[in-house]
Amino acid sequence: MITLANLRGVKESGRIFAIPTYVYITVLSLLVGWGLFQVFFGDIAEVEFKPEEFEGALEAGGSLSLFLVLKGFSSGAVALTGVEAISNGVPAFKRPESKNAAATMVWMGVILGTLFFGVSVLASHLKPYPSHDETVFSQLGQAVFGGGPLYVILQFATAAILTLAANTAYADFPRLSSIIARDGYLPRQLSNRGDRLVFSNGIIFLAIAAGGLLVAFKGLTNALIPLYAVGVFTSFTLSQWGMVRHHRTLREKAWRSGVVINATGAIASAVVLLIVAGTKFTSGAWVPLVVVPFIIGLFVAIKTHYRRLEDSLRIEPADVHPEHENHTVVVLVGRIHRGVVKALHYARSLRPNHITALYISVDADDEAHIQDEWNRFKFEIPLEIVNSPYRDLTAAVEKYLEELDARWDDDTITVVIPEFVAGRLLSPTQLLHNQSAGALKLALLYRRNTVVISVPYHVDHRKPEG
Amino acid sequence: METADAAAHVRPGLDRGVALILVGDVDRRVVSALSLAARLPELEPKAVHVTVDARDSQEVANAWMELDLAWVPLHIEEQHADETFLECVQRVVEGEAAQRSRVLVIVPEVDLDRWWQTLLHRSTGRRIARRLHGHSRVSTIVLPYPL
Repeated sequence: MITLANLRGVKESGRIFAIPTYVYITVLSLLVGWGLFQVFFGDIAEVEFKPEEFEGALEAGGSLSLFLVLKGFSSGAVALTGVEAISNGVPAFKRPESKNAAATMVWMGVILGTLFFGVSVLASHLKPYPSHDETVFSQLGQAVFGGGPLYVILQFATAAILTLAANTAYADFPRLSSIIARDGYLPRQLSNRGDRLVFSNGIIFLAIAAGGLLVAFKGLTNALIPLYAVGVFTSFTLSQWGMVRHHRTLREKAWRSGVVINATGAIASAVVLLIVAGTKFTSGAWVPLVVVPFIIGLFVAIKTHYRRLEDSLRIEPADVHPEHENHTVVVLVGRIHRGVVKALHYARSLRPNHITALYISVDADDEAHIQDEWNRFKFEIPLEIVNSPYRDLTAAVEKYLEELDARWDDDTITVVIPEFVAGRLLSPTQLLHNQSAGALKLALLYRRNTVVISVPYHVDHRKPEG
Repeated sequence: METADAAAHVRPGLDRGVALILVGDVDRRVVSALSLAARLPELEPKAVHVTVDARDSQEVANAWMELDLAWVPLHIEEQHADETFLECVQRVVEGEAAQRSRVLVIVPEVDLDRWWQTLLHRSTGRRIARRLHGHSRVSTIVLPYPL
């Protein structure tokens, strides 16, 4: 039910969760208050002891050993770990968030301390005993309230508050796992948000893992407490130590007091961790000591996989092969006129790797003249001149293109031919021009990796184009 | 020419088709997808990066320019606060399909050869393909890049 509620994206959790919380505090206060009143001023019997339900070792006599004190201390420390839930939820408070969170934590500490102390005093008088079949609160409730409605309310309130406590994991684990997944230490699926914009995969994973633990420990929640204790105090110790390093590294205002506070917290948490691990080792505390290193190893293995994948896929500019690599454009130049200029502009717009202009000359004077003209116009494209005494345009161009292939290992050569368009097709005017271009285009049609582009220049005898 | 005429007959006024390449990280998978898109002359290539983080999109844009991939325009699409990644992709694709004769969505993915590696990857391509299945004029290619 909790899983489904979280998958649906429980939004009004603040209001919904407040009701059972206040009911629980009220009925527990009644239990402690009325129970202590009856203990000191009334008449109340101790909890009836049922040996068949008792779990533990019966001992007679003995003294308060150090082991017993440490065990009691560690159990009490575990019981008070819930106060850290406020630290996780500071952004959820109304402004000013930190001040309101601090006030809430003070109230929480007062209520928790008072009730915990009161229950302890009450238990010392009524003597409930550890049992799988009935909780201590149920035994105290029976003794104080009898089997009446207050007892029923106490049971329902306890069940409700434990359900809310379970929801704390759903509030934090999916978000935490998404952060770890984003860093590459968990599968990236855990960073996905589902249809309700919740971390669906994290919620489902948590539900399956929690269910698996319940099955493995046969539903005995008491057996899971040592696992929880070792896990929570390990994280407390690491986070407090992390804050010590944070203060020492950043050295912001009042960093020294921060170091002292967090170092104290780290040492205290570490002491409790050692005590819990030692006193409850055989009760289940050994499990996280074995499992956590395995989980860390799994994190490292996942991160290694993602890093190797990233290295394999990483690409540098030199590795990118654009589709039009080694593209050379050659602009055929007869003489310099507007059509040639237009063709040169067009050739440049193709953004080739190489661009040249080609002139087929018949003699040295012709060559010198075109070179002078080219220099006069200051075209930025280099002019290459091929000498062909018999003005065999096609053969000279083909030979030149072969030389270009050898020079640049071209994938594609584009030959740009400026052409006059003077009058209509088949008009006498048109027929007087572009005959040599036609023969060249036909010859180049059979040349591999060669593109021929005609750049028309429309001539109006009344006014020039452009 | 016949394809274009047919498309115009179906819905006059639609631009020619587009090859939409979904870009996560700018890496070899993406370059492979761009090469494929370039070989489809009837489709105009366009790259789309979906993000929730403006900083992430700047890194992607910079990598796009550094690798000289600007011959394909890169569009950065920001996820709305109330939509998932798949919903955002669907919105982008539907927007293109409304204006184009055809949309080909190319999703570059790593071709994984070990069964356990699929546990560590989101299979985004397949999820997108399922999401877009049935949309008219939209096709999806999951393009595997072998390691």
